[in-house]
Amino acid sequence: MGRVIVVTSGKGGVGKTTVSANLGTALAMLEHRTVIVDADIGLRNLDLVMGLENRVVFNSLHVMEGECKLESALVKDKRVENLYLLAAPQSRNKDDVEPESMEKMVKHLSEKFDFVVIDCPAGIEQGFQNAVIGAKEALVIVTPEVSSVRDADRVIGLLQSTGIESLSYVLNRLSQQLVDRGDMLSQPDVQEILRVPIIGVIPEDHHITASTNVGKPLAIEGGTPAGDAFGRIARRVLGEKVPVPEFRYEGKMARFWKWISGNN
Amino acid sequence: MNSRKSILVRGCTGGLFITVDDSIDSEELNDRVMERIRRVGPEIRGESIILEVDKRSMDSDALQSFQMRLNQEFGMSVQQLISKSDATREAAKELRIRSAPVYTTGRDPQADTVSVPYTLRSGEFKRNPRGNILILGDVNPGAEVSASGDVIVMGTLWGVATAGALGDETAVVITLNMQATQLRIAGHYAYARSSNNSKKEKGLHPEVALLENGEIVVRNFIEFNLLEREVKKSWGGSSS
Repeated sequence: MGRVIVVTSGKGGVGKTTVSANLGTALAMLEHRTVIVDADIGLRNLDLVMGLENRVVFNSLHVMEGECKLESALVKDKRVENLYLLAAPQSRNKDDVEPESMEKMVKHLSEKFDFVVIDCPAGIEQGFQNAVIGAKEALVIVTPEVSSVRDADRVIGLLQSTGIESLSYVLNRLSQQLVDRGDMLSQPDVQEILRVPIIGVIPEDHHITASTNVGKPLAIEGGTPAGDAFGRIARRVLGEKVPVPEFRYEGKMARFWKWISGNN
Repeated sequence: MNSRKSILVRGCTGGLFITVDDSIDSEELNDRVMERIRRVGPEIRGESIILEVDKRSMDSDALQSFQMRLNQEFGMSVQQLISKSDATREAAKELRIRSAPVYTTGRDPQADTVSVPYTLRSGEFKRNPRGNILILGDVNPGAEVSASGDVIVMGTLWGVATAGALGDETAVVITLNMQATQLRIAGHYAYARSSNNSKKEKGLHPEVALLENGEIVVRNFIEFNLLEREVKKSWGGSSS
């Protein structure tokens, strides 16, 4: 039986889809059979971020309603071995999904894969309930803003009252420069409220925008701050102890002095 | 029309405190009181009642019919009767209702305390309409806690706390770290000092919020003698 991880947040626009795509990719690159499931019925995005839009023929609702076999709805990624996508329907809405059939499908997937990563829709309504139903583990995505922390706190409360066994959060889009200036919540500020384990910090990184638009997850190639952070999170999910590096912002002057003194 | 004021309903830690003026005719006493309770709202169902009737003389039949109406319509019962009339107190004794000439105890030491053994997260709302509430954790921003008596938070209070929800003005909010968004005591409101979060004090400073001259004030809990205040502000003192 594979591990089922739901990626959720409550608030929209904090990076659930980006984290799902990149975490799934990173897990697959570490040679684990991984499927990423888009549970945002009616607002499907994951296939775009993964660059697989043109290859989607069947979606998860086709599977749940018995119109096609699970195997034929799975889209295999050409760039990364072991990586699959199960897309959401765009033309239906969240009430069309029966929680029981979702649970059954997720169970079926967990028998075939090492990891089932579920990209949860925003909100805490039926769509959220459906996405969470088959999962045993949850990653809550938080950005360092009071509204995001507030919603994450709400979601953690809801998750703790369901069947989730293990729960941690990802601090996304942290800008050390803004934290140093006192304009952004720091990781300890967020920890003080949420009080659950943190599994990773993803620095604010402009590479993300480009990668999302061309449909190529950053985790495929190393060398970007956010892409490397996804790799570390994947290894922590696998149980490795990987330290969180400090994301020091280097201002122009600091870089200048470094260049002068010659130790770059 | 000023007869409207002749029935007074207040909340206290034990339930509802109802004062009936002597000017009300005995015939319509039952109807008038029931109507007044109905106006308070449906949330108070099942509360216990302290009835104050001053010098009015009530026999055990009258008292019993009142008790029955109360039970039928709201599921409530009179727990204590305050009356200066010997005959009324005698009738109460017959029906095994506790009675006294004046209401003396400010706070009911028997009031139920509900204990919540975890942190309240955003969106969670815990309340106790029959006494105090004790939170063994934090009350996070966006969470709410409410009690007809005192609110005690053994952690950081970030959210909204209501003490004396039914009108008990002696109720207090005690917490180890006061960061509340809003405090409410017996219908009075206080908002957070909108200071910059950056100069947030670290560590725990037990503080108590209470009403002083109709205004919510926050005091250092260790330096503040809660007991002394208790004696001053007993129900017996106010006869409004």
